[in-house]
Amino acid sequence: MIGRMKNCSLYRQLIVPMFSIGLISLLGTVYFSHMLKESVAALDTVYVEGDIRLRNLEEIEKQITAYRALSLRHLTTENFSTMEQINHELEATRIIIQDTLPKPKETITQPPSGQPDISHDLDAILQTYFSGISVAIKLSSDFEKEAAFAMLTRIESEHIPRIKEITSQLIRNAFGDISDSRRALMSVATDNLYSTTAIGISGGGLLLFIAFIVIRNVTDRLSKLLIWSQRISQGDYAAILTQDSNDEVGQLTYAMMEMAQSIADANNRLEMSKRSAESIAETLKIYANAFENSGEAMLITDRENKIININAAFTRQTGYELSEVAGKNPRMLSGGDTSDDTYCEMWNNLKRENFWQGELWDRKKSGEIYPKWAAISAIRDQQGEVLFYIASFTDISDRKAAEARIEHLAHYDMLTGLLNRFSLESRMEQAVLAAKRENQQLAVLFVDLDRFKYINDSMGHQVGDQLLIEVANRLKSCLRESDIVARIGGDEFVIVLTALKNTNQVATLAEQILTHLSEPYSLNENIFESSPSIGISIYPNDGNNIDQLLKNSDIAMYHAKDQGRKNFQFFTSSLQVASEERIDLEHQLRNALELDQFELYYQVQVNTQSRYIHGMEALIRWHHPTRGFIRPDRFIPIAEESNVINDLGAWVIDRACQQVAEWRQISDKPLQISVNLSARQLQSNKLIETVQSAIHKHQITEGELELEITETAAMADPELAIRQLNRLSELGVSLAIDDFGTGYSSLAYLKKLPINTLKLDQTFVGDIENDKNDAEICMATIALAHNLGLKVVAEGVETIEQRDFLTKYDCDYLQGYLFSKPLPSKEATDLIKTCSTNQMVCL
Amino acid sequence: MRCLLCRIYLLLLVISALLIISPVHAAEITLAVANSTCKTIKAVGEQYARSHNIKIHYLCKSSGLLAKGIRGGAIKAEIYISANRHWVDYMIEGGLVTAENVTTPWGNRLVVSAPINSPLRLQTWHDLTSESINSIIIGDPGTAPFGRYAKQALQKTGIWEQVKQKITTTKHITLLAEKLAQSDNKTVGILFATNLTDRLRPLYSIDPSWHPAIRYFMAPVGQSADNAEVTGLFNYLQSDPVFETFKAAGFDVTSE
Repeated sequence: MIGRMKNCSLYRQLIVPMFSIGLISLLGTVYFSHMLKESVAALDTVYVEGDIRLRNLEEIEKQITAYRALSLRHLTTENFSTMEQINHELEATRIIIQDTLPKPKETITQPPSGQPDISHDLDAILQTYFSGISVAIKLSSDFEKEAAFAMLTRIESEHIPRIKEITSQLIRNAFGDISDSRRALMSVATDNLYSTTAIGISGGGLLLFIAFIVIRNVTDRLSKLLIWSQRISQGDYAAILTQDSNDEVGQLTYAMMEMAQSIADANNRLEMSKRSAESIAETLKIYANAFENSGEAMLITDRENKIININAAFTRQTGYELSEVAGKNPRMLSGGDTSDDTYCEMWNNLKRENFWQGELWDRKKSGEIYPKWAAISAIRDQQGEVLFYIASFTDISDRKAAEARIEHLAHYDMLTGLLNRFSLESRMEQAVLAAKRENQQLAVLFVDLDRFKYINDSMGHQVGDQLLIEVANRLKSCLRESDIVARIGGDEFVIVLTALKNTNQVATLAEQILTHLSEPYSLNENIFESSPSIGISIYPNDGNNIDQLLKNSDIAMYHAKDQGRKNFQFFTSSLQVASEERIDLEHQLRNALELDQFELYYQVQVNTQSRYIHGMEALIRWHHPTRGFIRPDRFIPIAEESNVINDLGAWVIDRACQQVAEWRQISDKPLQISVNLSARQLQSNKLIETVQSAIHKHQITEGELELEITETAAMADPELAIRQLNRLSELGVSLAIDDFGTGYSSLAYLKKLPINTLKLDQTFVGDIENDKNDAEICMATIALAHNLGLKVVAEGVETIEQRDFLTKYDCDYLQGYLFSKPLPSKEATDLIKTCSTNQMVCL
Repeated sequence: MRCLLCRIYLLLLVISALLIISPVHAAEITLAVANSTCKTIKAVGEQYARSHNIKIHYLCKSSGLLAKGIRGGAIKAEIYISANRHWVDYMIEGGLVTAENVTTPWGNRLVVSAPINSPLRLQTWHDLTSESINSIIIGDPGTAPFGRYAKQALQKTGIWEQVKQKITTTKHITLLAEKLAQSDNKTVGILFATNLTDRLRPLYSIDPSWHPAIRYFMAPVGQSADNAEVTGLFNYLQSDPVFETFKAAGFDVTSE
């Protein structure tokens, strides 16, 4: 049969058997699906019936309970009309029960053998029950409650247990029916699945078998053909092939034999032309590569000046692809910024000399206009006719921009766009010359921002930079076009006002700048406060060259800072003296420690209740060899600025610890020594080490050393302050907030600090008698401190009235001239000795 | 503190125990009395207790409830007074009362009554079926004899079925008197003449031939028939002075 089929097409060989087997399988599957559907529908009916039966039975149970409750209610009712109403309800309930009663079973599944249908029983027993109850109800309606009750009880006990038994039996049966149907459904479905699967597998197997036979046959012949065609492709045109059938493979064999013949002919012709073409192509390829890969953008147009090719560099430069520009005039690239003269010159040159180069302003695809350097050649044939034009372009916008930026950088500040120091100096030089020539005055304003360093450090450079830009903008808005404004470093700005008529004008402007720059800054969704300190020098009074003028305005600016910032100061010659003195002091301060010029004084702190000495506050004194005694508020700021503070602070802590260790030997009570910490010290990372070594060296016990910090110092960097103070606290050092009430007084923040003591500032204490507000602040502070579990030391107690007031309001410790002025070590020691024996002296 | 409370508590216990134990010498007699005679029996009993060393407790309920209570053991009483024969028979059946000890010293009459301010008039008995009356309160025929008598009278005169839908029952006679007093102008009640209160007004006196004779039955309960103190009180209740008191209260004291 297979032999006979060879002459049929492959399509017939495969499709006919496949189609017939597929049809048989399909019919089989449809038949079984139909069977399954029938069974499922039949079973579904049973299932639904079972469910309804179950729900009905549950309803009957519920209604019987309701019926019983109603009948009982009837019996306990004393009023006839109410009884009538209940009677109606009873009747309605009875009808519901009877309507819901299950009908005798009609199922397609077999009823479980040996189990008689008990729904008839239920019907019968309910009838008896209802008639019994109706008699009882009748009695009840006749107000024979006793008899009715007896009857009801009897009927209930006779029938209810049986009714319950039957209903639960019926419910069990209904459940049984449902699970039977489910089992039957499962078995029908399983059988069906097996049959369908069997048909599918046998049909599929048969198909595979037929396909295998046909394909093996075809493959065999195809591989012969393949071997032959491989030989042909290797150039063996003499290979022999026979056509053995008329199916597709046979036809393919014939066609291939013809093709082989044509290929053999063509091959000979090709061989000849190939040799000549190869040499031409080689040359063309080199040119094409050179054009395509040239770093310069290149463009070729035909004699009508229509674009015929561009290279990759052109696309990179202009953004145009070949498809977008092909056939168009290069005019489309023109940006319109090149003069007509240039184009005229270009064409003239091309005509005359076949070449032109020059700057053109063209437009990129993005619309951007840019300068480019163009070189264009006209290529002509032997007759002198133009064949095509070739142009190359270099983008020179980067070079132009760089030239402009270098020019700007040399003269302007990058961040703010103001003049930089270099151009300030050259502009100032011109301005000074002009002023000299025309006999005019000049003002130099040196502006420094307060708190800039804090903002920059705490919020980051970005915010700092934004602040500077904003300051620059505000400055510009205050000034005339002819004025010079420059940023010469960090947060320092210099303004030069030219052609001044009088100096009042300068003060007005400085005031204006002060107001403007002090307004809040909204940066990065935060509001910052900053203000300028301004120093002013005037030409020619304060200097006749720019160095002098700048230096003096700088000194005046420092004076402004000393005056509490946010103000402006004119330079005066006395300022110069002060400035020099300051530099002098700074220099001497560095040596003072080595020369042992410092000394600690001690002021006594008295326990308000016991009037004993509670402790001593250590206060530093500088005995300057020529200037005599210098107050700490004079030299401490200088020490802070020149970093001497850390060494000085370490010395004070060590000395104070040594002193308290000495006093421990002579006093019968433990004493506390308080030492002031400066803001700079609090921020120093050496502080902990310093305190630790002093404690260790002098065997200081817990509570003997107290360190005082100001609120302002703690607030400068709250996070750091909390860290440092916690570590100090761990070392057993008691901590006090100095000058409480003068700074931020942030209660929430105060709670976070591990402090033990508040020091009430002497400015409040001093005015207790005269100023009601100060007295109230004192009271409130004491109450607040006690509330937070802190002790309070009042400073600057000078009168008995103050002492009595503070005693009255439970201030813990008192300090001031009323008790003792600050004393040198020896006198303080004497005081402690005296007090140890006779406390009356301390009062 | 807790201990102090404990002590106070203990002290109170001791005091109350002493109070209970102290009148140990006085005999105690409990009378189970049909509601309708309660008031009069109390008056008579107080009088008796004054001249004898005796303490009398009164349990006033409907006759049926008392009988059931005594038979069921829920009520302890020495003398039982019922408002009809039925409940005495029930007691005899239960062996709690000996038949020969039962006496029937007095009887009662039924009246139709209305609240004192009601303008209602009742010309004839059959007026009960008229529309001017929409509610009739009677005792529960099952447990209260005055209810049973009322139902019998209504049945005998053939109007029970007509008036049935107007009927409301109450458990005992005092409750009926109280309920009636608070009723509207279309309500009447049937009760013993002796149980009319000053908030009620008689409308119609029921013919005694319409129902069995209303007699009260009295008997000592169980072993107390042998108790001298009980017998003393029992005999006193049948003496002339007591009859006078009962007569004054509206009871029928002619012997049956």
